[in-house]
Amino acid sequence: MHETVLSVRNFSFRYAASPVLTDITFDADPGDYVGLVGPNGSGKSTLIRAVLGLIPAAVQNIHLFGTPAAAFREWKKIGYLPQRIGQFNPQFPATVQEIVSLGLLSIIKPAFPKRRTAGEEEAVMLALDLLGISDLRRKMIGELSGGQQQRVFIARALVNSPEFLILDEPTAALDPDTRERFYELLDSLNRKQKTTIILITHDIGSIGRYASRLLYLDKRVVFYGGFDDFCRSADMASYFGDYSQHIICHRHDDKGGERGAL
Amino acid sequence: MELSDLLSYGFMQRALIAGSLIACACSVLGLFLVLRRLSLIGDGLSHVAFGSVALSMLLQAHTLLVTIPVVLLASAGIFRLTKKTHLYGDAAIGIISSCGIAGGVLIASMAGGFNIDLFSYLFGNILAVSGPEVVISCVLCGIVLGTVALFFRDLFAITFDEETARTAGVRTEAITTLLVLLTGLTVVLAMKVVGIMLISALLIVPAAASLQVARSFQSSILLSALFGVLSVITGIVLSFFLNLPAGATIVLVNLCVFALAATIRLLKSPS
Repeated sequence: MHETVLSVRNFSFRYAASPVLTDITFDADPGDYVGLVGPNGSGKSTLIRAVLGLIPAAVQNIHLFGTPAAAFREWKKIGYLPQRIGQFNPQFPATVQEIVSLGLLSIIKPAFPKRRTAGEEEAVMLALDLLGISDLRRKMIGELSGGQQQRVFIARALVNSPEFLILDEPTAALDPDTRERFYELLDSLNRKQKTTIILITHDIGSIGRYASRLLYLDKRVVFYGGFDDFCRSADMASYFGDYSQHIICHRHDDKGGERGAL
Repeated sequence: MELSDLLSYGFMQRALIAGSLIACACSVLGLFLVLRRLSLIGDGLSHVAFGSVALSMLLQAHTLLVTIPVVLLASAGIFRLTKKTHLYGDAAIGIISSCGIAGGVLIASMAGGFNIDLFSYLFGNILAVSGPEVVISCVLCGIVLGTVALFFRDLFAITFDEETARTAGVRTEAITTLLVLLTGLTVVLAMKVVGIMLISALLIVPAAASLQVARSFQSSILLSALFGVLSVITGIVLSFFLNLPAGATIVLVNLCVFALAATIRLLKSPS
Protein backbone atom coordinates (compact mmCIF):
# COMPACT_ATOMS: atom_id res chain seq x y z
CA MET A 1 0.00 0.00 0.00
CA HIS A 2 1.47 3.37 -0.97
CA GLU A 3 1.92 6.15 1.54
CA THR A 4 0.03 9.41 1.00
CA VAL A 5 2.58 12.17 0.40
CA LEU A 6 0.45 14.96 1.81
CA SER A 7 -2.74 14.73 3.79
CA VAL A 8 -4.63 17.83 4.93
CA ARG A 9 -7.80 17.31 6.96
CA ASN A 10 -10.25 20.02 8.01
CA PHE A 11 -7.43 22.52 8.27
CA SER A 12 -8.35 26.13 9.10
CA PHE A 13 -6.14 29.13 9.68
CA ARG A 14 -6.75 32.77 10.54
CA TYR A 15 -4.56 35.88 10.91
CA ALA A 16 -5.92 37.70 13.99
CA ALA A 17 -9.66 37.86 13.35
CA SER A 18 -9.53 37.28 9.60
CA PRO A 19 -10.07 33.72 8.37
CA VAL A 20 -7.51 32.90 5.68
CA LEU A 21 -8.28 29.23 5.14
CA THR A 22 -11.38 27.36 6.21
CA ASP A 23 -11.88 23.63 6.51
CA ILE A 24 -9.30 22.61 3.89
CA THR A 25 -9.23 18.90 3.11
CA PHE A 26 -7.26 17.20 0.34
CA ASP A 27 -4.64 14.48 -0.25
CA ALA A 28 -1.73 14.24 -2.65
CA ASP A 29 -0.66 10.69 -3.50
CA PRO A 30 2.72 9.60 -4.92
CA GLY A 31 3.01 10.73 -8.52
CA ASP A 32 0.23 13.29 -8.32
CA TYR A 33 0.79 16.57 -10.14
CA VAL A 34 -1.48 19.07 -8.45
CA GLY A 35 -2.12 22.48 -9.95
CA LEU A 36 -2.99 24.83 -7.10
CA VAL A 37 -4.82 27.87 -8.44
CA GLY A 38 -6.98 30.65 -7.11
CA PRO A 39 -7.22 34.43 -7.05
CA ASN A 40 -4.74 36.70 -5.21
CA GLY A 41 -5.27 36.45 -1.47
CA SER A 42 -7.04 33.10 -1.73
CA GLY A 43 -4.60 31.47 0.72
CA LYS A 44 -2.48 29.40 -1.71
CA SER A 45 0.92 30.40 -0.33
CA THR A 46 -0.38 30.34 3.25
CA LEU A 47 -1.54 26.76 2.75
CA ILE A 48 1.86 25.71 1.42
CA ARG A 49 3.71 27.54 4.21
CA ALA A 50 1.48 25.82 6.77
CA VAL A 51 2.18 22.43 5.18
CA LEU A 52 5.93 23.09 5.48
CA GLY A 53 5.68 24.23 9.11
CA LEU A 54 6.68 27.79 8.24
CA ILE A 55 3.68 29.19 10.10
CA PRO A 56 4.17 28.24 13.75
CA ALA A 57 1.31 26.41 15.47
CA ALA A 58 -0.59 26.04 12.22
CA VAL A 59 0.22 22.44 11.41
CA GLN A 60 -2.60 20.57 13.09
CA ASN A 61 -4.36 18.03 10.84
CA ILE A 62 -1.51 18.04 8.31
CA HIS A 63 0.61 14.94 7.61
CA LEU A 64 3.66 14.68 5.35
CA PHE A 65 4.57 11.14 4.26
CA GLY A 66 2.38 9.80 7.06
CA THR A 67 4.10 11.89 9.75
CA PRO A 68 2.39 14.81 11.53
CA ALA A 69 3.89 17.96 9.96
CA ALA A 70 5.11 19.22 13.36
CA ALA A 71 7.23 16.08 13.77
CA PHE A 72 8.35 15.79 10.14
CA ARG A 73 12.15 15.75 9.76
CA GLU A 74 12.78 14.01 6.43
CA TRP A 75 13.43 17.25 4.59
CA LYS A 76 15.54 15.48 1.98
CA LYS A 77 12.27 14.24 0.49
CA ILE A 78 11.09 17.79 -0.19
CA GLY A 79 12.14 20.46 -2.66
CA TYR A 80 10.60 23.90 -2.14
CA LEU A 81 10.66 27.10 -4.15
CA PRO A 82 9.05 29.97 -2.23
CA GLN A 83 7.28 32.85 -3.92
CA ARG A 84 9.18 35.51 -1.96
CA ILE A 85 12.59 34.49 -3.24
CA GLY A 86 12.65 37.55 -5.48
CA GLN A 87 13.04 39.67 -2.36
CA PHE A 88 16.54 38.36 -1.57
CA ASN A 89 19.44 40.77 -1.21
CA PRO A 90 20.84 41.24 -4.75
CA GLN A 91 24.23 42.19 -3.27
CA PHE A 92 24.53 38.83 -1.52
CA PRO A 93 28.07 37.55 -2.22
CA ALA A 94 27.35 34.02 -3.43
CA THR A 95 27.90 32.21 -6.69
CA VAL A 96 25.23 30.24 -8.53
CA GLN A 97 27.03 27.02 -7.57
CA GLU A 98 27.02 27.96 -3.87
CA ILE A 99 23.31 28.81 -3.93
CA VAL A 100 22.31 25.57 -5.67
CA SER A 101 24.43 23.50 -3.27
CA LEU A 102 22.31 24.88 -0.40
CA GLY A 103 19.59 22.55 -1.65
CA LEU A 104 21.80 19.64 -0.57
CA LEU A 105 21.83 20.72 3.09
CA SER A 106 19.12 18.24 4.01
CA ILE A 107 21.20 15.28 2.84
CA ILE A 108 24.67 16.37 3.93
CA LYS A 109 25.64 16.29 7.60
CA PRO A 110 27.75 17.32 9.39
CA ALA A 111 28.11 20.75 7.88
CA PHE A 112 31.86 21.33 7.92
CA PRO A 113 33.03 23.84 5.31
CA LYS A 114 35.09 21.17 3.61
CA ARG A 115 35.36 21.14 -0.16
CA ARG A 116 32.27 19.85 -1.84
CA THR A 117 32.44 16.11 -2.51
CA ALA A 118 32.41 14.70 -6.05
CA GLY A 119 28.84 13.51 -5.47
CA GLU A 120 27.75 17.00 -4.45
CA GLU A 121 29.50 18.60 -7.41
CA GLU A 122 27.82 16.11 -9.71
CA ALA A 123 24.36 16.74 -8.23
CA VAL A 124 24.82 20.51 -8.53
CA MET A 125 26.04 20.25 -12.12
CA LEU A 126 23.14 17.96 -13.02
CA ALA A 127 20.61 20.44 -11.60
CA LEU A 128 22.31 23.33 -13.42
CA ASP A 129 22.28 21.34 -16.68
CA LEU A 130 18.59 20.52 -16.25
CA LEU A 131 17.83 24.23 -16.07
CA GLY A 132 20.30 25.10 -18.85
CA ILE A 133 22.43 27.36 -16.66
CA SER A 134 25.65 25.37 -16.14
CA ASP A 135 27.60 28.16 -17.89
CA LEU A 136 26.50 30.56 -15.14
CA ARG A 137 27.79 28.48 -12.22
CA ARG A 138 30.63 30.81 -11.26
CA LYS A 139 28.58 33.99 -11.68
CA MET A 140 27.42 35.96 -8.65
CA ILE A 141 23.70 35.57 -8.09
CA GLY A 142 23.17 39.36 -8.07
CA GLU A 143 24.68 39.69 -11.57
CA LEU A 144 21.95 37.58 -13.18
CA SER A 145 18.65 38.65 -14.70
CA GLY A 146 15.40 37.90 -12.85
CA GLY A 147 14.66 34.92 -15.08
CA GLN A 148 18.16 33.47 -14.64
CA GLN A 149 17.92 33.92 -10.87
CA GLN A 150 14.60 32.09 -10.86
CA ARG A 151 16.20 29.18 -12.74
CA VAL A 152 18.95 29.06 -10.12
CA PHE A 153 16.36 28.82 -7.34
CA ILE A 154 14.47 26.13 -9.24
CA ALA A 155 17.77 24.21 -9.59
CA ARG A 156 18.25 24.54 -5.82
CA ALA A 157 14.79 23.02 -5.25
CA LEU A 158 15.61 20.12 -7.61
CA VAL A 159 19.22 19.39 -6.64
CA ASN A 160 18.42 16.81 -3.92
CA SER A 161 16.12 14.86 -6.29
CA PRO A 162 13.11 15.34 -4.01
CA GLU A 163 10.16 12.97 -3.93
CA PHE A 164 7.82 15.90 -3.31
CA LEU A 165 8.30 19.20 -5.11
CA ILE A 166 6.43 22.32 -4.00
CA LEU A 167 6.74 25.33 -6.29
CA ASP A 168 5.12 28.67 -5.56
CA GLU A 169 4.71 30.64 -8.80
CA PRO A 170 7.98 29.40 -10.31
CA THR A 171 7.40 30.73 -13.81
CA ALA A 172 6.56 34.34 -12.95
CA ALA A 173 9.95 35.69 -14.14
CA LEU A 174 10.54 33.27 -17.01
CA ASP A 175 10.25 34.08 -20.71
CA PRO A 176 7.72 31.99 -22.70
CA ASP A 177 10.30 29.56 -24.17
CA THR A 178 11.99 28.91 -20.83
CA ARG A 179 8.58 28.59 -19.19
CA GLU A 180 7.52 25.93 -21.66
CA ARG A 181 10.79 24.00 -21.23
CA PHE A 182 10.35 24.24 -17.48
CA TYR A 183 6.84 22.77 -17.66
CA GLU A 184 8.21 19.96 -19.82
CA LEU A 185 10.94 19.32 -17.24
CA LEU A 186 8.33 19.08 -14.45
CA ASP A 187 6.25 16.80 -16.64
CA SER A 188 9.26 14.54 -17.21
CA LEU A 189 10.11 14.42 -13.47
CA ASN A 190 6.50 13.58 -12.73
CA ARG A 191 6.26 10.84 -15.33
CA LYS A 192 9.72 9.24 -15.17
CA GLN A 193 10.67 9.68 -11.50
CA LYS A 194 7.12 9.74 -10.13
CA THR A 195 7.91 13.02 -8.36
CA THR A 196 4.83 14.36 -6.61
CA ILE A 197 4.35 18.01 -7.52
CA ILE A 198 2.27 20.86 -6.16
CA LEU A 199 2.51 23.84 -8.47
CA ILE A 200 1.00 27.18 -7.49
CA THR A 201 0.41 29.32 -10.55
CA HIS A 202 -1.89 31.76 -12.26
CA ASP A 203 -1.03 30.13 -15.59
CA ILE A 204 -4.22 28.09 -15.75
CA GLY A 205 -3.68 27.13 -19.36
CA SER A 206 -0.46 25.27 -18.55
CA ILE A 207 -2.01 23.70 -15.48
CA GLY A 208 -4.71 22.25 -17.69
CA ARG A 209 -2.07 20.91 -20.02
CA TYR A 210 0.31 19.27 -17.57
CA ALA A 211 -1.20 18.72 -14.10
CA SER A 212 -3.15 15.59 -13.21
CA ARG A 213 -5.29 17.21 -10.53
CA LEU A 214 -6.64 20.67 -9.92
CA LEU A 215 -7.02 22.30 -6.51
CA TYR A 216 -8.93 25.55 -6.77
CA LEU A 217 -8.68 27.53 -3.57
CA ASP A 218 -10.55 30.64 -2.49
CA LYS A 219 -10.08 30.57 1.28
CA ARG A 220 -11.79 27.18 1.05
CA VAL A 221 -11.53 24.33 -1.42
CA VAL A 222 -13.76 25.30 -4.34
CA PHE A 223 -12.71 22.25 -6.37
CA TYR A 224 -10.30 19.37 -5.92
CA GLY A 225 -10.15 16.49 -8.33
CA GLY A 226 -9.26 15.36 -11.81
CA PHE A 227 -9.77 17.41 -14.94
CA ASP A 228 -12.54 15.24 -16.35
CA ASP A 229 -14.68 15.96 -13.30
CA PHE A 230 -13.78 19.63 -13.46
CA CYS A 231 -14.54 19.99 -17.15
CA ARG A 232 -17.87 18.19 -16.90
CA SER A 233 -19.01 20.07 -13.84
CA ALA A 234 -21.84 22.51 -14.44
CA ASP A 235 -21.13 23.95 -10.97
CA MET A 236 -17.59 24.83 -12.00
CA ALA A 237 -18.81 26.34 -15.27
CA SER A 238 -21.12 28.61 -13.37
CA TYR A 239 -18.41 29.38 -10.77
CA PHE A 240 -15.59 30.19 -13.18
CA GLY A 241 -17.55 31.20 -16.22
CA ASP A 242 -17.39 29.26 -19.43
CA TYR A 243 -14.27 31.05 -20.65
CA SER A 244 -11.88 30.08 -17.80
CA GLN A 245 -13.20 26.57 -17.70
CA HIS A 246 -12.70 26.34 -21.45
CA ILE A 247 -9.06 27.50 -21.24
CA ILE A 248 -8.20 24.83 -18.68
CA CYS A 249 -10.19 22.08 -20.38
CA HIS A 250 -9.12 22.92 -23.93
CA ARG A 251 -5.40 22.78 -23.01
CA HIS A 252 -6.03 19.61 -21.07
CA ASP A 253 -7.68 18.03 -24.09
CA ASP A 254 -4.53 18.90 -26.13
CA LYS A 255 -2.45 16.76 -23.78
CA GLY A 256 -5.15 14.26 -22.99
CA GLY A 257 -4.06 11.69 -25.52
CA GLU A 258 -0.60 11.44 -23.96
CA ARG A 259 -1.63 11.50 -20.31
CA GLY A 260 -4.64 9.25 -20.52
CA ALA A 261 -7.95 9.72 -18.83
CA LEU A 262 -8.00 11.03 -15.28
CA MET B 1 63.61 51.52 15.87
CA GLU B 2 63.29 48.58 13.50
CA LEU B 3 60.18 46.44 13.10
CA SER B 4 62.12 43.43 14.40
CA ASP B 5 62.96 45.35 17.59
CA LEU B 6 59.29 46.06 18.01
CA LEU B 7 58.47 42.35 17.88
CA SER B 8 60.99 41.61 20.63
CA TYR B 9 58.77 43.35 23.18
CA GLY B 10 56.58 40.93 25.10
CA PHE B 11 53.65 43.36 25.30
CA MET B 12 53.78 43.83 21.53
CA GLN B 13 53.81 40.07 20.88
CA ARG B 14 50.82 39.64 23.19
CA ALA B 15 48.98 42.54 21.55
CA LEU B 16 49.56 41.20 18.03
CA ILE B 17 48.55 37.63 18.87
CA ALA B 18 45.40 38.54 20.83
CA GLY B 19 44.47 41.39 18.46
CA SER B 20 44.78 39.22 15.33
CA LEU B 21 42.71 36.39 16.75
CA ILE B 22 40.00 38.69 18.04
CA ALA B 23 39.94 40.60 14.73
CA CYS B 24 39.56 37.30 12.87
CA ALA B 25 36.58 36.25 15.04
CA CYS B 26 34.98 39.72 14.72
CA SER B 27 35.38 39.86 10.94
CA VAL B 28 33.99 36.38 10.32
CA LEU B 29 30.93 36.92 12.54
CA GLY B 30 30.59 40.45 11.18
CA LEU B 31 29.93 39.16 7.67
CA PHE B 32 26.91 37.15 8.83
CA LEU B 33 25.68 40.11 10.89
CA VAL B 34 26.04 42.63 8.05
CA LEU B 35 24.25 40.34 5.58
CA ARG B 36 21.45 39.68 8.07
CA ARG B 37 21.11 43.43 8.71
CA LEU B 38 22.13 43.02 12.33
CA SER B 39 25.19 45.28 11.97
CA LEU B 40 24.37 47.38 15.00
CA ILE B 41 24.14 44.45 17.39
CA GLY B 42 27.83 45.00 18.19
CA ASP B 43 27.10 48.59 19.19
CA GLY B 44 24.20 47.53 21.40
CA LEU B 45 26.12 44.75 23.10
CA SER B 46 29.15 46.96 23.64
CA HIS B 47 26.94 49.33 25.62
CA VAL B 48 25.87 46.38 27.75
CA ALA B 49 29.54 45.50 28.10
CA PHE B 50 30.11 49.03 29.44
CA GLY B 51 27.48 48.43 32.13
CA SER B 52 28.96 45.08 33.03
CA VAL B 53 32.52 46.46 33.26
CA ALA B 54 31.20 49.09 35.69
CA LEU B 55 29.46 46.28 37.61
CA SER B 56 32.66 44.22 37.80
CA MET B 57 34.46 47.26 39.21
CA LEU B 58 31.74 47.80 41.80
CA LEU B 59 31.91 44.11 42.77
CA GLN B 60 35.73 44.13 42.51
CA ALA B 61 35.45 40.94 40.42
CA HIS B 62 37.47 39.95 37.33
CA THR B 63 36.06 41.83 34.35
CA LEU B 64 35.61 38.79 32.11
CA LEU B 65 33.81 36.85 34.85
CA VAL B 66 31.12 39.52 34.95
CA THR B 67 31.02 40.78 31.37
CA ILE B 68 30.81 37.40 29.59
CA PRO B 69 27.62 36.17 31.34
CA VAL B 70 25.97 39.62 31.31
CA VAL B 71 26.66 40.23 27.59
CA LEU B 72 25.60 36.69 26.68
CA LEU B 73 22.34 37.22 28.58
CA ALA B 74 21.83 40.52 26.74
CA SER B 75 22.51 38.79 23.39
CA ALA B 76 19.87 36.20 24.14
CA GLY B 77 17.61 39.03 25.38
CA ILE B 78 17.79 40.85 22.04
CA PHE B 79 16.83 37.67 20.23
CA ARG B 80 13.96 36.83 22.60
CA LEU B 81 12.68 40.41 22.53
CA THR B 82 12.55 40.34 18.74
CA LYS B 83 10.69 37.02 18.75
CA LYS B 84 8.27 37.64 21.60
CA THR B 85 7.32 41.26 20.96
CA HIS B 86 7.61 41.18 17.13
CA LEU B 87 9.94 44.18 17.36
CA TYR B 88 12.34 44.89 14.53
CA GLY B 89 15.91 43.87 15.41
CA ASP B 90 17.16 47.47 15.54
CA ALA B 91 14.46 48.44 18.09
CA ALA B 92 15.33 45.44 20.31
CA ILE B 93 19.03 46.36 20.04
CA GLY B 94 18.16 49.97 20.97
CA ILE B 95 16.25 48.87 24.09
CA ILE B 96 18.97 46.52 25.37
CA SER B 97 21.67 49.05 24.44
CA SER B 98 20.10 51.91 26.42
CA CYS B 99 19.58 49.58 29.40
CA GLY B 100 23.32 48.83 29.29
CA ILE B 101 24.40 52.48 29.14
CA ALA B 102 21.92 53.67 31.78
CA GLY B 103 22.84 50.78 34.08
CA GLY B 104 26.55 51.39 33.49
CA VAL B 105 26.36 55.11 34.33
CA LEU B 106 24.36 54.41 37.50
CA ILE B 107 26.71 51.65 38.63
CA ALA B 108 29.81 53.72 37.77
CA SER B 109 28.51 56.61 39.89
CA MET B 110 27.80 54.18 42.77
CA ALA B 111 31.37 52.91 42.40
CA GLY B 112 32.75 56.44 42.81
CA GLY B 113 32.63 57.74 39.25
CA PHE B 114 34.57 57.01 36.08
CA ASN B 115 38.15 55.96 36.75
CA ILE B 116 41.15 55.13 34.60
CA ASP B 117 40.24 51.44 34.36
CA LEU B 118 36.80 52.22 32.99
CA PHE B 119 38.31 54.63 30.45
CA SER B 120 40.72 51.93 29.29
CA TYR B 121 37.71 49.76 28.45
CA LEU B 122 35.90 52.62 26.75
CA PHE B 123 38.76 53.36 24.37
CA GLY B 124 40.70 50.06 24.40
CA ASN B 125 44.21 49.26 25.51
CA ILE B 126 45.45 46.28 23.54
CA LEU B 127 49.08 47.03 24.43
CA ALA B 128 48.26 46.35 28.09
CA VAL B 129 46.85 42.87 27.50
CA SER B 130 48.32 40.34 29.95
CA GLY B 131 49.63 36.80 29.34
CA PRO B 132 46.58 35.07 30.88
CA GLU B 133 44.29 37.37 28.87
CA VAL B 134 46.03 36.26 25.67
CA VAL B 135 45.43 32.62 26.61
CA ILE B 136 41.74 33.28 27.40
CA SER B 137 41.38 35.22 24.13
CA CYS B 138 42.97 32.38 22.15
CA VAL B 139 40.66 29.78 23.71
CA LEU B 140 37.51 31.86 23.24
CA CYS B 141 38.40 32.85 19.66
CA GLY B 142 39.07 29.17 18.96
CA ILE B 143 35.58 28.36 20.26
CA VAL B 144 34.01 31.11 18.11
CA LEU B 145 35.86 30.19 14.90
CA GLY B 146 35.44 26.44 15.48
CA THR B 147 31.70 26.84 15.98
CA VAL B 148 31.39 28.94 12.82
CA ALA B 149 33.33 26.26 10.90
CA LEU B 150 31.11 23.50 12.28
CA PHE B 151 27.87 25.28 11.39
CA PHE B 152 29.16 27.13 8.33
CA ARG B 153 26.62 25.78 5.86
CA ASP B 154 23.71 26.28 8.24
CA LEU B 155 24.83 29.86 8.88
CA PHE B 156 25.22 30.45 5.15
CA ALA B 157 21.75 29.01 4.48
CA ILE B 158 19.90 31.11 7.07
CA THR B 159 21.84 34.21 6.05
CA PHE B 160 20.74 33.83 2.44
CA ASP B 161 17.14 32.76 2.99
CA GLU B 162 15.85 31.71 6.40
CA GLU B 163 12.58 30.23 5.17
CA THR B 164 14.07 27.87 2.61
CA ALA B 165 16.78 26.94 5.11
CA ARG B 166 14.05 25.70 7.46
CA THR B 167 12.63 23.47 4.76
CA ALA B 168 16.12 22.01 4.29
CA GLY B 169 16.06 20.94 7.94
CA VAL B 170 18.17 23.78 9.39
CA ARG B 171 17.14 24.63 12.96
CA THR B 172 17.02 28.32 12.17
CA GLU B 173 16.17 29.63 15.65
CA ALA B 174 18.96 27.61 17.25
CA ILE B 175 21.48 28.77 14.64
CA THR B 176 20.43 32.42 14.99
CA THR B 177 20.70 32.15 18.79
CA LEU B 178 24.15 30.64 18.36
CA LEU B 179 25.21 33.51 16.07
CA VAL B 180 23.99 36.12 18.55
CA LEU B 181 25.69 34.40 21.52
CA LEU B 182 28.97 34.11 19.62
CA THR B 183 28.69 37.81 18.81
CA GLY B 184 28.23 38.57 22.52
CA LEU B 185 31.36 36.58 23.37
CA THR B 186 33.36 38.31 20.64
CA VAL B 187 32.22 41.76 21.74
CA VAL B 188 33.58 41.08 25.23
CA LEU B 189 36.92 40.04 23.76
CA ALA B 190 37.06 43.04 21.41
CA MET B 191 36.71 45.54 24.28
CA LYS B 192 40.44 45.28 24.93
CA VAL B 193 41.38 45.79 21.28
CA VAL B 194 39.49 48.89 20.20
CA GLY B 195 37.41 49.77 23.25
CA ILE B 196 33.68 49.73 23.87
CA MET B 197 33.14 52.84 21.75
CA LEU B 198 34.57 51.32 18.57
CA ILE B 199 33.70 47.60 18.75
CA SER B 200 31.09 47.76 16.01
CA ALA B 201 33.76 49.02 13.59
CA LEU B 202 35.72 45.79 14.10
CA LEU B 203 32.56 43.79 13.34
CA ILE B 204 31.20 45.81 10.43
CA VAL B 205 34.04 47.45 8.47
CA PRO B 206 36.11 44.39 7.39
CA ALA B 207 32.89 42.62 6.34
CA ALA B 208 31.71 45.69 4.43
CA ALA B 209 35.11 45.93 2.70
CA SER B 210 35.06 42.26 1.70
CA LEU B 211 31.59 42.67 0.19
CA GLN B 212 33.04 45.26 -2.20
CA VAL B 213 35.42 42.82 -3.85
CA ALA B 214 34.46 39.21 -3.02
CA ARG B 215 33.40 36.87 -5.83
CA SER B 216 31.84 34.11 -3.71
CA PHE B 217 30.58 33.52 -0.19
CA GLN B 218 33.69 31.59 0.84
CA SER B 219 35.98 34.29 -0.53
CA SER B 220 33.99 36.98 1.26
CA ILE B 221 34.55 35.18 4.59
CA LEU B 222 38.27 34.79 3.92
CA LEU B 223 38.69 38.39 2.74
CA SER B 224 36.76 39.74 5.72
CA ALA B 225 39.06 37.83 8.10
CA LEU B 226 42.13 38.96 6.14
CA PHE B 227 41.09 42.64 6.17
CA GLY B 228 40.30 42.50 9.90
CA VAL B 229 43.61 40.90 10.88
CA LEU B 230 45.61 43.15 8.54
CA SER B 231 43.98 46.27 9.99
CA VAL B 232 44.68 45.25 13.58
CA ILE B 233 48.34 44.40 12.90
CA THR B 234 48.92 47.60 10.88
CA GLY B 235 47.01 49.68 13.43
CA ILE B 236 49.01 48.35 16.38
CA VAL B 237 52.36 48.89 14.63
CA LEU B 238 51.42 52.39 13.41
CA SER B 239 50.13 53.40 16.81
CA PHE B 240 53.41 52.35 18.38
CA PHE B 241 55.62 54.25 15.93
CA LEU B 242 53.42 57.35 15.72
CA ASN B 243 52.51 57.36 19.42
CA LEU B 244 48.77 57.22 18.69
CA PRO B 245 45.97 55.45 20.59
CA ALA B 246 45.90 51.85 19.28
CA GLY B 247 42.09 51.39 19.18
CA ALA B 248 41.40 54.50 17.12
CA THR B 249 44.34 53.77 14.80
CA ILE B 250 43.07 50.24 14.14
CA VAL B 251 39.62 51.57 13.24
CA LEU B 252 41.07 54.23 10.93
CA VAL B 253 43.21 51.61 9.14
CA ASN B 254 40.04 49.51 8.80
CA LEU B 255 38.28 52.48 7.19
CA CYS B 256 41.20 52.98 4.78
CA VAL B 257 40.93 49.31 3.74
CA PHE B 258 37.21 49.80 3.16
CA ALA B 259 37.84 52.94 1.08
CA LEU B 260 40.41 51.05 -1.00
CA ALA B 261 38.04 48.11 -1.56
CA ALA B 262 35.19 50.44 -2.50
CA THR B 263 37.48 52.26 -4.97
CA ILE B 264 38.51 48.95 -6.56
CA ARG B 265 34.85 48.03 -6.97
CA LEU B 266 34.06 51.41 -8.53
CA LEU B 267 36.96 51.12 -10.96
CA LYS B 268 35.92 47.58 -11.96
CA SER B 269 32.23 48.35 -12.41
CA PRO B 270 31.28 48.85 -16.07
CA SER B 271 29.38 52.15 -15.70
